This record gives sequence, C-alpha cells and structure tokens, in this order.
Amino acid sequence: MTIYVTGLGVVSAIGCGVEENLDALRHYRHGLDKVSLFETALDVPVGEVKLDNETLAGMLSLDKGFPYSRTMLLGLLAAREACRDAGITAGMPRTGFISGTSVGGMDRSEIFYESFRNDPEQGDIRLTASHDCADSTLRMARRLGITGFTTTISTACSSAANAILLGARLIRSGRLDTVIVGGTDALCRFTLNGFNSLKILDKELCRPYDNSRAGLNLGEGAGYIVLQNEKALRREPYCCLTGYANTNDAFHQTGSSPEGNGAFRAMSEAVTMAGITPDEVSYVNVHGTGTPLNDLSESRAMLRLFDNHVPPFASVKGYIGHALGGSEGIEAVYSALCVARGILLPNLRFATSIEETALTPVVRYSEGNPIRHVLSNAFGFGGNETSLLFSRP
Amino acid sequence: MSATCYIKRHAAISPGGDAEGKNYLTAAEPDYKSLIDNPGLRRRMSRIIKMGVAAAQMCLKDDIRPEAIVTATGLGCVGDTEKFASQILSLGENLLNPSTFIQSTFNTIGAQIALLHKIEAYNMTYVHRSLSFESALLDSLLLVEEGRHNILVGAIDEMYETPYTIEQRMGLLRNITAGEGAHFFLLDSEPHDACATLLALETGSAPATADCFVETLLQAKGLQAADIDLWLTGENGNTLHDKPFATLDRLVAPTSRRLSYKKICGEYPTAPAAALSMAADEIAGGKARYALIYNHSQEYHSVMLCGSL
Repeated sequence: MTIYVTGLGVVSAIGCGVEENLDALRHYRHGLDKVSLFETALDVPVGEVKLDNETLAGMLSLDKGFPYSRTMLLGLLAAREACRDAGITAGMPRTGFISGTSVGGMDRSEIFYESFRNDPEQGDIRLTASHDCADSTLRMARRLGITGFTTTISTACSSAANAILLGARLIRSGRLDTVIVGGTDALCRFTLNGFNSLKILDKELCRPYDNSRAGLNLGEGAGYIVLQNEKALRREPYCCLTGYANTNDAFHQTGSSPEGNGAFRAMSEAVTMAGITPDEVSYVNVHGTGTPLNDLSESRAMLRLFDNHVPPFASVKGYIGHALGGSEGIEAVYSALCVARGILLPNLRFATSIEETALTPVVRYSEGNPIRHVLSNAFGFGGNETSLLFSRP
Repeated sequence: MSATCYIKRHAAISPGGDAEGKNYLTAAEPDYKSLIDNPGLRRRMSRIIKMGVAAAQMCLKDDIRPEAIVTATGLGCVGDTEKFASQILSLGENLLNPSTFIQSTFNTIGAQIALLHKIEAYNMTYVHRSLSFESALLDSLLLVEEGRHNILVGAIDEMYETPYTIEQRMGLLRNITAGEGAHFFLLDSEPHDACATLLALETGSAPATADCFVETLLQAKGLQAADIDLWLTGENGNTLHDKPFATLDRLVAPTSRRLSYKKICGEYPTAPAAALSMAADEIAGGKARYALIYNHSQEYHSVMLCGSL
C-alpha cells in the first residue's frame, strides 16, 4: 500500500510556515540566538521560535489570557498549516492525529513549581493543567476537529519520527485513511538545564559534522505532515513514505554506541522496507546534533550502510538547533520538500571533516536535483532510533 | 483486529486496596534483589523505574526475547522530574547532577528493559493520559498483525505526595482514591502457554450510549451480554464520572460477577492495565470465560474484551 504525504506544516527558529522556513534555508539564515523566553543564568545559543505566547495565541484566535502551554501553541500552528495544505476539514471520517512531544507542558508547570515548592498551597494551579504530554495533543485535535484515533508518543528526540511511523502503520493496517503526524516541543528552563547538566551543549553556535564540533544547541518548534492512502488522496502528493524503522541501540541511556549499531539497523531496515538498495538513496537528512559522539557514530553507521559511498547528506541543526520531540516533525517537512523540489540542504558551519570518518556534508543550497529517495534520521535518549524514507511517487 | 492476540504472561506490582492511613493507594513492592540483581543499577533506579523494570522482568523470566517493547505512562517518572526541577531551584543552574534529568524522560523504563537484556528491537512509549495503556496495546496488536512475536507491553504510573496534592488542588480527586501500579504483559499470535485471549480493544471519544456501543461490539464477536461472566467496571466513586457505568451495569451486571477494579488499584491514568491483569488472572484460574473491561475519562473511553483460550 502506498502512503502519500499530502500536507506540510512547520514552525521553527527560522520561521513560521513552509515558505518562511524554505526562504531561510535557501539564504543560509540560521535562527540561533540568546535565550529570551525565560530567565536563565546559562549563556548558550538556542533556536527559539521568534513569537511570544500571546502572539501565537492571537494567530490561532485563542484566548490570550489562558495559560496554554507553548508546546500546544507551536504544535497547533504547524498542524493547522498541514491540515489546510492537505484540505483536511473538521470531522473528516477515518482521520487520526498522532503527536510526539518530550516536554509536554513543562514550560508552564515549572513556573507553578517555583511557588509550590515553597508552599504546597501556593502557585497558580491552572498552570499545571497542561503538564502531561497528552494535553497539547488533545487540545490540538479538538481545535482541528479530528475525531478519529488520537494519541501521544514520547520517545525523547525521536518522538515525532515515531508518531509518523505509527501513523503509517495505522493506515497500512486499514484502521485510518488520513492521519496528521509529527511533533512539538517548547524550550524551557528544565530541558535547557537538563542538557547543560549532561555537558552536551555548545556555548558557541553548533557545528554538526565538523571536526571542531563541541555539542548541540537546543531548539524548539513543531512540524506535522499529513499521510493519506490512495482512497483519501485529494491533491498531488509531495512524496510517499516508503520506509520506516524503529530500533533500539540498547547501549546506554543517553549516549549512542560508538559504531552506531542502532542507527545502522534503523536506516538499513527503512531502506529494505522500501524495496530499494542503499545506493539508491539520494540524500540523507542526518540526525547530526553536533555532539562529538552522535555525529561520529552516525557517520560510522552511514559508512557501513553505504559501503563507504555515502550519498549527499546534511544536518539542519545548524539552522534550527535540536527541537527534541518536535525535531523530526520539522525535518520530515524539510525532507518531503527535498523530494518534491529536488532540494539539497546545506549543513551550516562545516569547515573540516571529522578526522575518524572524513565525510563531507552538503554545504551549498540547490534545487532541481534528481532526488528519488531521502532518508531522515531521528535518534534519542534511551537508544530510541528511528529512520524514515521519503520517496518520489 | 485480524490476528488473534494471546496473553502469554502477565505481571503486576500494584496496591491491594488498603490505603494504610495514606491519602492514596500505594503498590506492594516486591523484594527487588532477585528481579534486578545488579546492586549498583538497582540503587540508581528511582522507585517507579524499579517497579516498571521488575514487572517486566517477571514477564521475561526464562530468557524470553521480546521482539518489541511498548510502554505506557500518564505522568512518567514524575518523581525524577520533580527532583531535577527542585535541584534547579535549590542549587542554581550550575553543577547539576544529570541522573534525575535522564530518568525523567518518559521512555526511561522501556529503555532500561532494552538495556538490561540488550533488546535492539522496536521500542515505543505512549503518554496519552487515560488512554496511554490502550494506545500501547493497540500498537502491540499492530505488531502482532505485522508478524512479531513476544510483544512486551506494560504500563507504569506512580503516586506520591506531590502529584496527590496537585491533583487534589485541581479538583480531580473528588470522592476518588488515587493509586498507582506497574503491569506488564507478554503478547503473541501463538496460543502456546497462553492464559487468555484479547478479543477486542476499542478506544476513542466516548459514545452517547455506552451500552449500545458495547452490545454492538459483543455482537461483532458473536457474543451476547449474557456471555460476559466477569465485569470489570472502571467506576471511581465520582458521581459525574460514574454515569456511563450505570447503563453498562444494566446490560452486563445481572449475569456476571462485578469487580470495581479501582477499589483495589486506585484511580490513575493507566489503571485499565490493572483491570486487564485481573481479567487474565481470573480467566487463567478458570473463574471466568469472558471478561469485559470498560473505562472512561473526560470525553474518552476504552473497552477491552478478554476470553478464555
């Protein structure tokens, strides 16, 4: 069964909507800057969406006084764009919604907790209503008028990738005809401090796949794509989702295995599922966080999969940072555009290849390339590794 | 649901219905030494992680190699989340210990099980409030249909003072006793050594008439309400919440044994996993042939139907 990608929606540090994102990508304009959303002593660059909550609520015609989580606001903006793009209307039958998030409404509950910790009777209790991960999903589904199967996935940085994978499987099993899939995460103090305590944040702008890379920059945002079977298809699709695989590295709670075993198996299984050979992959949207370990282990996994002939590849984290649970939602949108318009994206701030693996990513933006298959990786804490393969119809 | 799905094993770490003077029910925890034998690892694990990993270990004894691990949780490792949040406030933003942050990630328990057994297969975590476990179960059914064997699926939630106080203040616990639990199941398409069959799973927006919904579901399986001999009701004591259960009582209670499972495990997001465990126990013990499990929360509901082999 063919699974078509028929709608795209994205909000990231480089813009709101597909066209703004594409324009920034085309003009090498990154969105990394100092933290402005919350008070912090940490002086690290982050990829914030340049719209405050009130503006986001206004754009969505929501009550500006209600303490919606930023995760929900970012998610709804992106999911609404994807639905409009695909012509999804409220109450459409056999239509589902699957969203990934790693942080849920922590941006709100951490404000509550400051007062609560001193006195359990204190703190605005409304701020806790959006704490659980399902809150953003349920609110979005309600606003979008999606009445079919709805769920939330949280597998750290691969959350959105796994939402996409589940959506495809639900269509394939005959349970749904249409599903909006992706993920959303807002930056907050909790996450920034978490990654800082792990000592994997770069104090400078991140340099994925460069020999001098020293860590990641966190980001935020949301990305959703619409998957449909042939029966539901109403417009010319961007591409098809032809392969997907979820594996576990089973190596370490936070670090990847040096040889990238889980990454290798995820990519390899996704390619096999599509019935193609690795040499048919035109471009890889790598996970490429910019941490010394991730990029090295992912490089090794690619060298193994492609038998040392690695196709053009790039990490977009130099533009938007690592948007965690939302990252593969955003990057799936980019990957679908790469297939549809033959785009190769540049890997910003690359100067010197990683010594051990000597791979050179794409550094120039180009369109109209003969692209058939784009492999996209999302790897997360807990060894959760997911690869998706987007192909020309 | 095309492939038949059998419950081969199940394990529970859950409360026994007695709050022992506390405001909420807490699980009777086993001696973890025999289940998680590495003392260093055991010491590093928080309470909820130990509960989850230990329940999974019970399902994985005799070197069973699952071909997928699927977990579900409403609030995840909320104790670890609180500890890290508290550390930020007490120590400032420098030199924080990352261990509670790492453990606060929702997929920690699934990942720990994979790590412990070097299981490189499919690994997924659902965090969808009252339908978290049902989502995980649906994924497991898909995996069985896709030809995988020995699917390990489980649900874990913990209750302690902070979430209790917050839920109390939010008004979520009116006449309700909160609880917790860790439940794991091993599912397969092969009936060998199985104890029960999972005949149906439905989740989604609650219908206007729960009894009609269930009756139609039973008919689709060639069953009648009178065939249900074990009725696991998800009522929790809150009058508003308990409304749909009255119509279901009229449908199935006259001919079945009625078990209000939340009296034993308390109310929590993945409580239906406790009901499925009880159903599997009763069916395996020959005390029931068909068990109906119904739950609902806000505008969503779930139905599970189990049968003997």
